[in-house]
This record gives sequence, structure tokens and C-alpha cells, in this order.
Amino acid sequence: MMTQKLAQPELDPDTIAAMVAARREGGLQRTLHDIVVVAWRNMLIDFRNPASLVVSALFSTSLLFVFTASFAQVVTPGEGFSGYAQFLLPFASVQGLMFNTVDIGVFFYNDLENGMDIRLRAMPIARLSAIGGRLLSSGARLLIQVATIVLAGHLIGFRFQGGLLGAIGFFLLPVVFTLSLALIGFYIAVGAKSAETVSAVLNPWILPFTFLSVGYVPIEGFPDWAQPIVTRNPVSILSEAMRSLASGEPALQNVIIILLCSLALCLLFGTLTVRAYQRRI
Amino acid sequence: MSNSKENMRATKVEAIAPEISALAQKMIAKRQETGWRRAIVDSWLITGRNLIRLKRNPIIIVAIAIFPIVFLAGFWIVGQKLMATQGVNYIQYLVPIINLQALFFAGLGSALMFAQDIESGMMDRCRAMPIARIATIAGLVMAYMVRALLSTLILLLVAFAIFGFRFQGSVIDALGYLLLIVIFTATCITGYSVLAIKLRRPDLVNAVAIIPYTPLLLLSNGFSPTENFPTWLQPIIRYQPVSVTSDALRSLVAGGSNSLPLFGFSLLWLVGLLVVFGVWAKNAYKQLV
Repeated sequence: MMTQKLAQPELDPDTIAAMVAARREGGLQRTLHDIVVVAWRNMLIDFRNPASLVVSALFSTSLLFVFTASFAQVVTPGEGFSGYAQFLLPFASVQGLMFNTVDIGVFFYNDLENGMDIRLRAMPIARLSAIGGRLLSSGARLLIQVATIVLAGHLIGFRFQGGLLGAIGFFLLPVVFTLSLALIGFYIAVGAKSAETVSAVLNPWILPFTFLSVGYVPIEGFPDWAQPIVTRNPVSILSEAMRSLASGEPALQNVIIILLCSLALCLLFGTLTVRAYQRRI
Repeated sequence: MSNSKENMRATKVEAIAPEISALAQKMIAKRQETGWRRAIVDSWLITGRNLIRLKRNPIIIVAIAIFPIVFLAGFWIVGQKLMATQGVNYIQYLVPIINLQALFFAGLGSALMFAQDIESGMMDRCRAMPIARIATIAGLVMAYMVRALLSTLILLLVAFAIFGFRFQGSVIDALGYLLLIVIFTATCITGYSVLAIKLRRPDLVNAVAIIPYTPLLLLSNGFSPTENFPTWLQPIIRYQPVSVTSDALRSLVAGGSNSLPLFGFSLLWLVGLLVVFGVWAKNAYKQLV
């Protein structure tokens, strides 16, 4: 009797197609909606366990303070500390965000590893929501970090002199660039076997890029052989762009270079990540 | 029926009880959980286990060899020209603090492994086993001491071969350098073990462990001479332990005659901190379970 009750219902291809259509897993609207839901879930986890969020924000802020204290008199002898703070802050926030990409890569690895991803794959939601959600919540995380460092920088003399548009650009440009960098971390995380691998692969690249940039010292401070590398380093270009945005000077050329870099990284590593993610199970 | 059976068993147990307890005494004596020799053997065993764990972790090559060298190269490229205008030979100035930083990161790594051992139950397992109590802590310190000294060796060799760093002191100065390095590492690891015992969760330790880095390492005269700091900060910069130790290391490298008072001052700081952290860690460890 039971077996009769459980007998297959009449399912012709049309009914199945209608059911799938009713779930509406695809489509732009659905995808965006699901990404926002997953991103909000990720952010709630961040807010309820804020140790890593707070530490990464405080760490870059403390680097700003400490380097202002120790290098201001070396780089700009005889001048006050606030001039160097104005010079250093854009770079200090870029550096903080770049270190954060390691954390973001590890978070994504944990998403894939702790069953969250399998759960998402089994649910009637857009396929892209695991990657997109993590990317969006990481963007929020980075924005909080920039805001913290700007507020802290205000105490030691950092000021926006370029109006509202410049300030908005100042906040968004490093976040966009860092998110495109974070995609490299995502790609590594999809293939990694442990969380340590993710940070071991990502960490060593960050320091050379930050040291060999016009971050701590102006270009004249570098040895002659290093100067061509330093001026072409994306981190330098980004720092220069943010400096111009903060002080109200024309920044369009550097901003466009950074946006093109971000776009290239997004296209390359975004595609690689999505393809690797599709093959993962 | 069952009652009489139980009685019989009870009398039987009573009869052999003295024998059992004598046997147990003998067995405990045989296990020899205490004593110096046992402590050393067990510590060595745990050290070996920790070293195997270190060896199998891919991040370790990065942490030991690449990180200190990248920091050395980075600060050197950034600071060399500017420091030269202040009359500082920056590579000679920089190597000691980069060395201390490498030791500091060894301490940081030890906290992470300690927290993982607490979480995974390794600590409970060690307590349940017939080994010396001290072996778990001593094994951790010794394994990370090996890591720290290896890191120091690689750093000094690279600084010598590529960057032109020269040790100008005598053999006694070199021994003094080594002694300070070893004690600094021990102090770092002990201090960080307090953090690991108090926090217990590896992810939390990982997030928090970087916090002492900025005030201790960066707010020191290791990277930039004291005179470059704001006036009100200078007394703190000058007398904090990392500054004093890097001062001592630099004077040992330079081989001057004034290194003895600096060495003594640094030793006083480090041993004092080691005792404080050691007592604290011991008490915290006792309350761990």
C-alpha cells in the first residue's frame, strides 16, 4: 500500500520545466538578490565575531601612527608631522587593504571547506551567490577599514581638501582595486588544500609591492635602479591617485590606470575563479 | 545467590588489595614521571614532535627564510638614502631589528601552535600520559627556539652576502649577540604562551597576536633613531625593552667598548620579563583544565 502511495507522480518534461522556471534560479535580478542575501550573512558573522575586523582595521591605523611618528622627521626633516600624515595615509590604507586580501582569501577557503558551499549548491539560489556574496561582504569590510583609518588620520592632521566627489573616489578606488586583487586569493582558495596554503601563497607578494612604492617615502628617496620599478608599481599609482583625490588635484589619469588594472584582474581571475569553482565538486 | 557471589568477590578483592596497591606503587615508580632526566628526555620528545609539525607546514619556509629577508630588503631600499643624509649606515643599523622581528614572529607562531594544541586536545592527551609535566611547554619553547635560530642564521648570511652587512665585534661580542637572541626568543615565546593559554581559540590568537608588534617593534629605535620621534615620545622609545635590546645588539655588531652596559641593561629587561611571563604562564597553565 505504501509503495503505491509513493509511486512516481506523473512528470512530463513540461511539468519539470515549469517547476524549474517557478524556482527562478537564474536571471539577473535573482542573482543580485541572492548575492546580497549571502553577503549579509557573511557580514553578520563578521559583526558578531568582530575580532578579525577590529584587528585588521586597528592594525593599519597603528601602522599609520607609528610610521608617522618614526619616519616624518626622516622623510620631511624640519616639517611638522601632519604633512607626512597627509602623504602617508593613502598608502597606509592601501597597505591595510592589501593585507586584508589574505584574510578574505582564507574566509573564502573556509566557506568552501566547512560545508557552507555545499549547502548553497543544494539550495535553489543563483550559482554565483557564494563567490559574489563573499566579494560583496569583503567590499563592506574593506570600506569599514578605510573609514576607520580616515577617521584616525583626522586626529593627526589628515584632511580632505578636494570636495565631496574626491572624497567618494578616495573611499571607493582602493576598495575596487583591492577586491580585484582579492579575486586572486579566491582563485588560490578554490584550489588550496589548507588555509595555511592560501596565506603562504598570498603573503610574500604583498610586501615587495608595498615596499617598492611611493608609500613611505617620495620617489627621490629610492636608489636610482629602483625608481623605474617604483613609478610603474600599481600600488604607487593608486597611492598617487588617492593623494590627488584627497588634495583636490587632477587625478583622472591615475584613476583610469587603476580602474583598467582592476578590470583586467577581474576579467582574468574572475573567469578563472568561476571556472575552477564550477569544476570543484 | 547473587548476594553470596558478591560477598565472595569482596573478600577476594580484600585479600589481594595490599598486593595491588604495592604493585601500583611499583608501577608508578617504574614510570618515573618526575626527575630531571625524565623531564629532559620527554621535552626532547615533544620538541621532535613539534619540529615535525613545523616541517610539514608549507608556510614555514616563507616564515623562516623569505619574510625576514623581504623586510630587510624593503626597509633598506626605502630608508637607505634618507638615513644616509642623517649619517646612518642603514644596513648595519637595520639588521638587529629585523633579526628581533624574525624572533618575534617565531613567538607569534608558537602561540598559534599552542592554541591549536589546546583546542585539538593534544594538551589533554599529554596530561593523561606518563610524561613530565614540563615537557609540553619546554617542547614548544625548544622547537621554536630551533626555528628562531635557523631564521637568524639565514638572515645574517643573506645580510652578509648580498647587503654587505659586517660583524665588526670580537668573538665575545658574537657570543653576547647569540645570548641576547636566545633570551629574547625565550621571552617572546613565554609571553605569547600566556596569550595562547588565555585565549585558547586559534582563530582568536591569530587575529590578536599581531597587536603587540606595533608598539614594541615599530615604536622602537630599531628602524629609525630615537631623535626622529616626537619629543614627548622619546623617553618611552629610548627605554622600552626592544629599543634597549636593539641598541645592545648594534653596539655588539659594531664591537665598541661601550657595549657592556647596554648588554647588561638589555639582559636585565629580558630576564625580568621572562620571569614575569614565566610565572604568569605557569599559573595560567595549571588552571587550563
